[in-house]
Amino acid sequence: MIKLYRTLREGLRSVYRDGWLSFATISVLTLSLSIIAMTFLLVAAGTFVLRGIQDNVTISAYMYPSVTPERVEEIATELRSITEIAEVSYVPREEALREFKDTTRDPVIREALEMFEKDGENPLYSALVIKATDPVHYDAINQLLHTSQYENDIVDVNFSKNQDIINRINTMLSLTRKLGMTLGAVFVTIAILMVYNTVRITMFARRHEFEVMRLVGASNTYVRLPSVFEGIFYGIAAALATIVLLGIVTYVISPFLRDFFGDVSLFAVALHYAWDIVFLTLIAGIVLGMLSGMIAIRRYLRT
Amino acid sequence: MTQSPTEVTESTVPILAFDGVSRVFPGEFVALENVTFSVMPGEFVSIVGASGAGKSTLLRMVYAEDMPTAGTVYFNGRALNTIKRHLLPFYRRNIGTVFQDFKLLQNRTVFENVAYALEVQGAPNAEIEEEVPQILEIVGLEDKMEFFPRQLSGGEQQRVALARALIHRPKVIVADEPTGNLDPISTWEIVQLLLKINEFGTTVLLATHNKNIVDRINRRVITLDRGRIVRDHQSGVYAI
Repeated sequence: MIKLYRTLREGLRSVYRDGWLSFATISVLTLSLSIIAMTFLLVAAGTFVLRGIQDNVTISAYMYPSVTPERVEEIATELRSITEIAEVSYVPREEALREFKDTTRDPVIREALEMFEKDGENPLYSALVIKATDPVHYDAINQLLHTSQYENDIVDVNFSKNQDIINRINTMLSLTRKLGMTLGAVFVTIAILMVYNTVRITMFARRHEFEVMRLVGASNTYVRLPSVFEGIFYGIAAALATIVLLGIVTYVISPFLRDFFGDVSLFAVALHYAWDIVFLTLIAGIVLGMLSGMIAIRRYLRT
Repeated sequence: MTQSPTEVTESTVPILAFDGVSRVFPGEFVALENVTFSVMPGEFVSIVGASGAGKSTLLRMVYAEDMPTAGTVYFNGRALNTIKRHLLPFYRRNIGTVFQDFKLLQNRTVFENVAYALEVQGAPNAEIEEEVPQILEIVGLEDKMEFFPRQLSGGEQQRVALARALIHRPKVIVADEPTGNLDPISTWEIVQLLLKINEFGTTVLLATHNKNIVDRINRRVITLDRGRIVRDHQSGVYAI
């Protein structure tokens, strides 16, 4: 126990006495952790945006004019019982016409719609607007809507028009995830190499100390442990610095990224994942610092 | 029966023995060739020779910092090459080492430098607080316990190194050119300390090319020349 206390004291003493070396090591570690964390944040924000778009994608089943509201409600109830369907809403013909008039900017179409209204006619169908729990289910829902049980009720489904958008969103989401993981792996590797190199320089500067430790009969564990504790301390210090830095940077640059992320604020994303970031950064910092210390000192333990 | 590397044995057994020891470095450089000698407990042995004769290489084998390419080194009858690598630090606690460049920890005080040798062995703080001032008094540095090495003269630094080498009561003191960086007065002070330590029963191996010391102390002298022992006299003089 006393040896553990002494090695811990040694580790902290080294950090304190080699101020500039400690500062350099913590800086490199902070930079590495910040790059990794920022990469994941940007990917998370991108994913948020894509999911937001995804959430707004729906398909509509257009009903024959002869279908009664009661039958429409019956169909809606049947569809709501399907687990892959999150929401079904009914848009009557009148409402559909009103919405279309309000949203269309083409003057020719507006004029045509006004003529229909004057004649008391409505060219639009009522519709059931269906939102799936996951976009991957739209294909199956589309096939269900084309089955014989609804062939007298549903005139058309606009799935094919939205299919392209849905597929593209799914592809982008998948790409974003893969890109994030690849970049993350690359930056983690770079971080490991940078930190290891910096710690090695620190160890090299103290090589005479290790020689003395060996000569007075310090066991390998006794020589190694202070470096391990040092590494842990560096990791914790760097993690805390990273968290503060990340908070400041995301707060400052969020307004400038609105063109990319729209209503999704990078700072808000950071806050959303705050505890995950704190936890993972601490773990990553401690592991990186500790492993670097353990590996870098090995050469000084050899006879 | 396996013997603990730290075990003490009664002695008609040499405390140290070299049996046909050779050390060849990469590039076929022969640092030691077929060196055979033994040292009894309590002896004071000077190892002399020109620069490059193999003195330091020989001493490095005593404290297991290097291993022979042929032959065997024995400590208290135990072959050093039978000690597992992770147990070598425990073997080294039988040996106290002193070097020409002092090898002190620059960011620790005199007290902390000496205490370190006890700390690594897990000695309680109370024991350290008692023993370190005593040993520093023996070497004449009791007033400089809170000084850092850079605040000391060369002779004082070497005395700190000697105190550190002695604090854990080793069986053997290995001194590799301990006076190489010192003035004549400091040189003689260090040698007198080594002689005093030897009087208390500690075996001393002193590597030096200081003719004056060797001739004056009139103890056993082993002379090395190009890695070979060319002379081994009980009351020898420096003759190369």
